[in-house]
Amino acid sequence: MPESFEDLLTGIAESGARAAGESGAAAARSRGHQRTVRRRSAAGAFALVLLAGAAGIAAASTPHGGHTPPPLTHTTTPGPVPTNGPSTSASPSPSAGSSDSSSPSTTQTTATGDLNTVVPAAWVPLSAFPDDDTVKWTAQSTQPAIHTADRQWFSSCLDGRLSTTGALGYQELTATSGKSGDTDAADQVLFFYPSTAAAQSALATIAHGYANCPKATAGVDDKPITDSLTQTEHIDGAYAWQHTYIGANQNPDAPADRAAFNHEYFVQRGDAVEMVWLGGVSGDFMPVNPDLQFLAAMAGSLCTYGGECEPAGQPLTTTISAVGGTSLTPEGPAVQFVEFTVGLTNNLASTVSGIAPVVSLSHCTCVTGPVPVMPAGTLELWDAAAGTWKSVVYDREGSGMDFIISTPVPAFDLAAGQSVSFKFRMALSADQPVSVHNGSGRVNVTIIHPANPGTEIGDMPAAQLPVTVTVG
Amino acid sequence: MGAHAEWMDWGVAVSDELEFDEFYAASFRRVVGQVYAMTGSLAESEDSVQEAFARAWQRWSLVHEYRDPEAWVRTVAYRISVSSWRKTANRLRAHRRAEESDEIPGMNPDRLALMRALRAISAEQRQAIVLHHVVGLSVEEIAHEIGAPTGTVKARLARGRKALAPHVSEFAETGAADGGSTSQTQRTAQAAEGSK
Repeated sequence: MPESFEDLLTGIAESGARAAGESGAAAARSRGHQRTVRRRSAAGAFALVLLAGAAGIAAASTPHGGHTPPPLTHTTTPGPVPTNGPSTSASPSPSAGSSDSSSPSTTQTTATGDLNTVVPAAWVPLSAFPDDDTVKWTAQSTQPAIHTADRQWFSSCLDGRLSTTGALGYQELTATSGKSGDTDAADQVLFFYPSTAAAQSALATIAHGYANCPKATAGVDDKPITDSLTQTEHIDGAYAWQHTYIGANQNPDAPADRAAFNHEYFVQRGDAVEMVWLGGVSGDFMPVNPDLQFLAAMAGSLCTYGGECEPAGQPLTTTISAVGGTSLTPEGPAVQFVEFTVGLTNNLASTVSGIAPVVSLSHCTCVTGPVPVMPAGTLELWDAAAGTWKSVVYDREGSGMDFIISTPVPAFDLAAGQSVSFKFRMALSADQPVSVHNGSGRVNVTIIHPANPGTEIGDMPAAQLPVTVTVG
Repeated sequence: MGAHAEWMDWGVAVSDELEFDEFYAASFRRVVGQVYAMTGSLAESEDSVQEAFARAWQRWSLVHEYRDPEAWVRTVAYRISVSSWRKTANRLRAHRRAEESDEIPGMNPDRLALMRALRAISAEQRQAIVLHHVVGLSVEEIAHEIGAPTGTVKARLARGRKALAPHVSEFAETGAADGGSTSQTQRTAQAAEGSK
């Protein structure tokens, strides 16, 4: 005879009671006691901050704005000089020159983490979190919560597979969007491990999990979901991923327990692993282009607990400079070239992998029309090994973003502190399908990961060269 | 000296430890089971109940005076747990503290099916249903425990049953009735009467 509803429900509760693991009354008393003491300590620290503010000390601004208190002082020692040798795969074109004159200024710290002590300097301020300028991340508490439970499971994928990373516990600060009616949320978590090796192993476990997420999966409500997962960035000891869950209708769709859009960042430094998660019903608020800078910012803070720090500021410096004149003409017996050099420098202490410049031609005021694309022409890359110019894609910006996909060179790695340069020349064709008159435009350079098409790294464009078009 | 001074300053006598420990031993598993039925996650239930007991100890001088300290712990644990549930439900996906599976080994298929069905209804409805059908509280008692009007409790019970109707044959004809189902307490009382 089948069980009645109440018998079933009571049976569930009794099963839970039987299976419950008791931590014990003494542990509960200890936890309550610790929290009382911690609250008193926090109150004392807050009073100290107020006193410091009254004394004018707060006027000394720190690079860590936002919600976090001023960073605590920690001992730093000069770090090793990064390896700046030319990247073995960074010469897609023999014309590419490289140098190692710009070693990034980094430090390496040797401090170790204490789960029960919140170190403000280790936290990236919410003001530095990626957003679309409408989401203003707002912390849900004044201090990170400390979780000391013994179970620390981790789920990289939607399929529910969990792995334990061996964390001692974690500190967590959650945030919500300050935009009215917005359900977007952020979570910043610092996991602490018994050793640096354990933290490195944890990051490897997490990365392995992400690398093996099944595409076809389901939410807890058994709703079929396709997991569209992209590793958007990677530097030493740091990864960024973006999950988008696609429903049966091929549109982003949220399973019952997950956000449709999830952007996740992980950094390991010393015996700590930091996770920042951004999630919401729309992906608009979490642009990918600041991922490299944000990972570097996380590493720059988390190195409080040891390991390599990353410098503040732009991770990559992109330049474009004319070798001679910048005037183009589509007519005349001799082709008139504009020659320019594109330079790229990695300012980080980590290798930036799989990047390439997009050299694109902006709209031109020299053409009349709803989409005034640059007049037809050619773009060539200097092949130093062959001693010749080689034709590459003449990439004109139109009405969409297609131009951001084509690169004149294959993807390459740029080691810490390394610089690379490419020499180009462009010319306009004598025969133009549209009427051209005097005007101006630009040669734009944008850095992308060709393996992740359509997504720029940092600003778009990162550098630009004005050119003029002269007719007659 | 410092520890003793702090201890006394905290307002808890050493003799309270015994009372608290007895309360913990008598109640912990039962409350975990109830919160588990409300939330569907054993790990979250364990953690939230442990946290609720920690909070109870922080204010034990008050809590132990309550008429039903276990109800206080259950309510606090539920709020902690449902907060966590909501956090998981709405956003948190990359990390969580949970067992390999929230399903307890050995549970029969009918109970597993009911657990899955319970996940499909709102947390407030689950809470009302568990308090009524497992803990055995009346609508008025539930209203008092969760701090909601009795009409709200009735509505949650009715809507919860209606939502569960496709999964529970007993509720197949459940309309918008209030707490008309026989509670555990009532059944126990009836059984006791029947045995007289």
